[in-house]
Amino acid sequence: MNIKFNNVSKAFNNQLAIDSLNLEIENGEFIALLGPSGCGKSTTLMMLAGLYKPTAGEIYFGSVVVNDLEPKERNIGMVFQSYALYPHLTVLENIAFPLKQQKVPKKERLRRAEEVAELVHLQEFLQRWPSQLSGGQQQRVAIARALVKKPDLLLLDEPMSNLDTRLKNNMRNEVCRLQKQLKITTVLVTHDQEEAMIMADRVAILDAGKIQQFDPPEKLFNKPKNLFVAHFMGNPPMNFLEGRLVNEGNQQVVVADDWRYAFTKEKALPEKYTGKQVKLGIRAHQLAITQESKDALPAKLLALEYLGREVIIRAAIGKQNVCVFVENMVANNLPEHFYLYPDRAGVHVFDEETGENLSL
Amino acid sequence: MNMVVKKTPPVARDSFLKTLQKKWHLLLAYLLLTIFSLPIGLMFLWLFLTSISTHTIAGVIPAGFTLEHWSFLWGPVEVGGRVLPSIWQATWNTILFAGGLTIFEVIISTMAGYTLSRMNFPGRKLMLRSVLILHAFPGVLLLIAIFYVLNALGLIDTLWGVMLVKVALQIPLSIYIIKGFFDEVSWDIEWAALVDGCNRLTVWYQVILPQVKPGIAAISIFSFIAGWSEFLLLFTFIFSEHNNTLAIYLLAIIGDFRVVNYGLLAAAALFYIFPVLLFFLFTQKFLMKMNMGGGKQV
Ligand SMILES: Nc1ncnc2c1ncn2[C@@H]1O[C@H](COP(=O)(O)OP(=O)(O)O)[C@@H](O)[C@H]1O
Ligand SMILES: [Mg+2]
Repeated sequence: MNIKFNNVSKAFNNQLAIDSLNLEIENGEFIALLGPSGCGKSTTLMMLAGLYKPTAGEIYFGSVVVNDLEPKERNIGMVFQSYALYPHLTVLENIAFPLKQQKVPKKERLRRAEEVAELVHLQEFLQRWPSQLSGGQQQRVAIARALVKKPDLLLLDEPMSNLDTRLKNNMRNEVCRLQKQLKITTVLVTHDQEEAMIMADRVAILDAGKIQQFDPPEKLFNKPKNLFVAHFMGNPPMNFLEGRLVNEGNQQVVVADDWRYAFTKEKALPEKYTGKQVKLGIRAHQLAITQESKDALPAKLLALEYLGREVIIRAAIGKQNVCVFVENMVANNLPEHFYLYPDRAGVHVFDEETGENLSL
Repeated sequence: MNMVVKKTPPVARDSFLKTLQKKWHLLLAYLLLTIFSLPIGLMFLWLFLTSISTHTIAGVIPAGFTLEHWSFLWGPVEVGGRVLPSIWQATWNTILFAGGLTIFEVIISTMAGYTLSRMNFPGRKLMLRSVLILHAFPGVLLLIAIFYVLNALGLIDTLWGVMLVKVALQIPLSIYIIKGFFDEVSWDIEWAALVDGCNRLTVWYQVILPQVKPGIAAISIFSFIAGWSEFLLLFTFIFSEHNNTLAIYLLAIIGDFRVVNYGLLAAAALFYIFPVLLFFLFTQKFLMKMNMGGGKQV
């Protein structure tokens, strides 16, 4: 089932939480809604579930507008951050609960519940109460309960945020495996970019109630549409350098007090941007340390952070601080002043006013 | 209270003194509690002894043994020359009254409490406030008005009529208590149930009610005890002897004050409190779980 948001808005007490959202999800696709806390991810998910009604716009499941459909008429499965298991029911009864609501005969619903429990490796815990399970097991129950009715759409609201790192990795793999195996259209909500990048086919980055970019992870990372996406994706965040775009002879150059960066002919920007205040964006691994000043940015060493095989160098270019990833070897014997040579393919130019990426 | 009292080895007198020093506040607490509850305990004891004594010495000390005062359990009772009906009719009436009250209150307040806790509708806040004000409002002030209403409805001198009045007067407190319990139930569970195929009514019944069981126990206990001990409303609106409850029956036993049979009164009083005492002993653990405030977002 493919899903479409058409100019969907949601207001709480006249405050817009979601502002004309447009989004299309393909059948069987795994997408992630990624954004900082409070940006409206859960609200979007709740509208898909039918727990919140959009204030404006339409949500389509296939070709049907579902705005006015009750949650139970949508055939969705949902996993909550708190898992929301029913404390008064055993694991088996929890998993069978959605089938009970569909009036599936008892024998069959227990059989199907056991089947799904096996899928998430819960066979041994069927008679326990939720309070007797670990966080990871509780989450499996929640996933099994969401899957048991063979939903057309699976919704996951920060499902891993209460698990420790190891368990998180396990569950990520497991959820991905299940999703591929069952081919269920899935929407994952998370504030963890790593999680979104690992799990989802496409990631929608949400900020201030708007979608900033909706693309496969690799594209979000390498071709960010605007400053927010560039800043949000990647750890450490992208380095930004403020300057002004000018023409020198027939070359385009970004100049600042302490440095300049000249574009090659092929990578040049449209003429109309000349004179704009811009931000150069360069990722930490796309700066190389050199002693030659040609086409490079002068930097002053501030600090070193050892991360095992790699080292983060914190340096200042003019008044702006940057991070650089280098190998352990290079970091030793680093002079106080050196040059940073940007990988030309990795230089982005953002309009300082609108935040738009001008170099795409 | 689960205070672990360490056993002192017999050799170490010192350590015993030390323990005593550490626990003296505990000791003091027990001492004070004993002193304050002693009079009540003694009164119950006296009541019991009086009920099985033939006479009292100096008007207070029971003496002689008899079961005659308990004869109301198997035979008719005579007070001041008047023969009272069997106490079992009054007992049955009391059970009916208290039990009916409990059932009505649980059904109404679980529904109303859920609605007030979970749903948004115009007038919700007003309703919550008026629930509180109604609770503070003394029911006695309404006696005359209620009399007219019951009379007009033809419910005067019926247990059902008085039960309805009592339900109405009690319901604000029950709603307020149970709403606190509903407030504590997470929205996620409710949402999960909606997604899993429930409608609002089945969510309430299958998922939310089981979470507020301690609250239901609490209001049941409160209602039952309130019904069991109700006097004023019954005394005012019930005239027929066959509709009497135990509280009124006790009044009849006292008769006209000049010739009170204290042995009989004591026995009947014990008979009257016994079920409540038993009931309370079995249910008090639910009461301890109760959280009276609970009022998030009034
Ligand atoms: N039930 C609600 N009532 C009022 N405001 C809400 C409600 N739910 C969410 N909001 C507001 O909408 C915004 C988005 O919330 P949410 O979707 O929960 O964010 P996220 O899940 O991305 O952290 C927040 O500013 C939040 O305060
Ligand atoms: Mg959220």
